[in-house]
Amino acid sequence: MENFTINGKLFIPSVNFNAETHLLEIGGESYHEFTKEFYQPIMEWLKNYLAIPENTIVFNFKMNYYNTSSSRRFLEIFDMLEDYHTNKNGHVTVNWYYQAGDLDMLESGEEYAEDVGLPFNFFVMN
Amino acid sequence: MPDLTPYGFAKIIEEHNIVLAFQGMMTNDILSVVANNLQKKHPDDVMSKRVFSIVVEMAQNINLYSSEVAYSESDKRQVGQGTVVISETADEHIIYSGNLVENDKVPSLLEKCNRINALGPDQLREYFIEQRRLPEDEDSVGLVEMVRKSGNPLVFDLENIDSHNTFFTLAISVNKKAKQ
Repeated sequence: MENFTINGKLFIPSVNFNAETHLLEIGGESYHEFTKEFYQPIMEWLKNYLAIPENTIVFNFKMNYYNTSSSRRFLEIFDMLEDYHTNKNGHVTVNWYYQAGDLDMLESGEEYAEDVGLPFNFFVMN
Repeated sequence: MPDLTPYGFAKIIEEHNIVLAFQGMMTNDILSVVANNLQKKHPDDVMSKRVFSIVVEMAQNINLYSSEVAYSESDKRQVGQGTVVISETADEHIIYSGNLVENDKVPSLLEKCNRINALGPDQLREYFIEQRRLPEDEDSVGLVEMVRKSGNPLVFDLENIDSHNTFFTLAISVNKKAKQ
């Protein structure tokens, strides 16, 4: 299947989902006001991608800022990945990156880790 | 009568330590300007990021819940209108938002604000995680986020305008010496 790419700008994140290497990356900023609409194609791609079982997926989360509306969309993505990890013989790892000193972003990652059943690693962004 | 010539207006802005004020439709373009402005003044600063996140959540609430709406050409839909003001002194930023809400929505809004103000930091964290799983128009995630980013309670005021509308004012301060 085709890879999925969005070039980020101001309030829109960069998205690079690779169906061959199984590396999914998202980064930058996300404060689009209509996040359901913006994330809809991303969800659609993920749904099709996750229909193929048993892959080992790495999700690199490199966001610098996002609003609470985007935070709901990320929760939906993590829920989809959790389902894949638990029920589709898949293996998903989340690598959560944050800038040195940005403990708010670290805490946001810890809150997802508490809420969804996926292994999270935390790294300081270079 | 206030002096609203450019000179008079500049003086009012200075007297009230206003660094940014906007009234109307809070679109993404406007928010990007705010973000850019804050980042230029305080680059790579966690505090300016917190101030910005409060502005974003306020703008989102105005867009979704203001009872004063207008058609946005860039968004191709009706969006709410309101006012956002940021003031800055040596000790703190105060971010204000104001918009009309329908009278019948006032009790639930009041309840949400009071409930949030009664919670401590750890409870707010749990409440945030819990609320994020609720349907989008029932949750208080945006308000909880504002309190968590500011470290201070919501200061709010509801002033009845007429039989349909109440003016909702929210003020949130971010201390400059807040723990990071």
